[in-house]
Amino acid sequence: MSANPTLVVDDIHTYYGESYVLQGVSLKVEPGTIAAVLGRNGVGKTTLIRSVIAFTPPRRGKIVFENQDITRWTSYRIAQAGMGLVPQGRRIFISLSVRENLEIARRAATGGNEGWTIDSVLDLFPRLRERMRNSAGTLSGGEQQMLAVARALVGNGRLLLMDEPTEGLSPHVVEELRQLIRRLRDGGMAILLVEQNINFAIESADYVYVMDKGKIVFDGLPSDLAANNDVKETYLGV
Amino acid sequence: MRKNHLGSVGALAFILIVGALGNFLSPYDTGLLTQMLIYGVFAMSLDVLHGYTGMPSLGHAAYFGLGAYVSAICSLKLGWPFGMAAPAGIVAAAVAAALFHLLALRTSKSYYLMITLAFSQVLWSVAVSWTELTGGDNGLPGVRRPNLGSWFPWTFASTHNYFYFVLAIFVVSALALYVFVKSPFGYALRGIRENEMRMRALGYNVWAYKYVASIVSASFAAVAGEMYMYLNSFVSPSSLSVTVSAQVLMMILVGAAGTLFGPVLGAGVFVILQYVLSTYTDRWLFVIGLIYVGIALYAPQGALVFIRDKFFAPKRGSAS
Repeated sequence: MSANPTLVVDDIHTYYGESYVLQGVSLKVEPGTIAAVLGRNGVGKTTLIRSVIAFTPPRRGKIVFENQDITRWTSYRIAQAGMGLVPQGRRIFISLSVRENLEIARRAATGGNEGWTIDSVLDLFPRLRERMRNSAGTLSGGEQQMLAVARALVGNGRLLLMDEPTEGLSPHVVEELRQLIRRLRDGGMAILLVEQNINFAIESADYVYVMDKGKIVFDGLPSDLAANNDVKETYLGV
Repeated sequence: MRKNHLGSVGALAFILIVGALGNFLSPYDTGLLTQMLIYGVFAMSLDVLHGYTGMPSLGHAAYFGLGAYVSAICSLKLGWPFGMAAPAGIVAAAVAAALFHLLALRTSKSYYLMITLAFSQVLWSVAVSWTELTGGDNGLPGVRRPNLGSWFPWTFASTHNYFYFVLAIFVVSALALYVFVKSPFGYALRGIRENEMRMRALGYNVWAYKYVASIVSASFAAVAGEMYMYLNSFVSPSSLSVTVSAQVLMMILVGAAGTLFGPVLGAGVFVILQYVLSTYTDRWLFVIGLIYVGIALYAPQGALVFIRDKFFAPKRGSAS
């Protein structure tokens, strides 16, 4: 399949006020693949996600989603166009119940696809089904992460942005998450994953980028990164 | 399921008890009960903005007073019947909110608080200074109580009959607002209160949701303002004053923001306190202030949530 990339980030420069965070970042996510961006704390990984979803739009550069230039679009239009976000720290709505969290995120699939429904997502996360009426604030960390992913799924986007999804999760839940995102990818979803957890990224992703001080300093196959001790030591501290 | 059941039984019991009380109480006390219901609608309307959407307004009297004035002017100066004058006041408040929020929605949180205060003060000064239309400081006396026409077997001239009229409007308003906040639209408002950005990431046009919420809120505030105006057959600039705005905000905070019954409870407590305290002292506002400080310190989520968590729901933070 030689379709165009789902997401193209082309030389974006993003500022927080005066501070120059992203200094010319370019990357691609192909349809049905997982791209991971690795880097230490504070190198601009979350800013990258925020730039793509237009929370902090880039000052220069271009972002193309499914052949449409979305650089100047507002966040909600980008989301409506088919981009889902699993924010850092599993930010679900704690004052809403689990069901209400899913209800507000639901969006019909486009292009005649069957897509995810609340019911089919609950088959994926049976534990959430038992907690439908509970306030989301009472869920455990792992359950909140499941809800955050489930919420992104019922939005039926074709690209999922995940900001440090493994943060604070037990190894067992991390493994479940890894299997889940591989299944989503095999179902045709494109995923842009931002992580500090190198092993998780290497084991899940199809392509990896390493970021440092607002720039991409390495890109290649996960096996290339695994073999490259220089990059790992210099930029990832292992 | 069980919980919803409990809620509807509670609501029905509340209406029956209040309805029965109106039959036994003296006209004076029935008048107080009527005021509670009117402030109840007013407080619920503000809670749509403040409690559900997270837009704290210190100028909600603007719509309360505007509804009252427009409907009074339509019936006194233009001679419109109740069936036209009452909707006119509601439409006026809705249109005012729609225009004002084109500007006001550029602000949020405490800045929204300030700009709503400014807006209500502008309306207040118009009411004071445009004497030919509004009667200035003297206000507009002599508005007749609602008359639904000769087909309707009751008139509302007596306090008791008017009480039942207000009770009916209260029930309809509470039901309408209940349906509104329990709809997906209402969930979205709560999502916006918690985090606007996350709602944008879910594809919500946050601006449009806030815009609609502010118009709905203003419309019900006008309903309350009109009922208040018809209760006294009188409207004056004080109905647009910052005191009224602050009082209704306090009712919500005392009762429990983000619930529908909490503001009604707060309105009831407020009217009773005002009545009881003012027979003993002129400084009754001071005592109410102390009580408010106590609530803010010991039950910051409001009396209703405090009572519910203490006696009915052992689970922390369960969904309402």
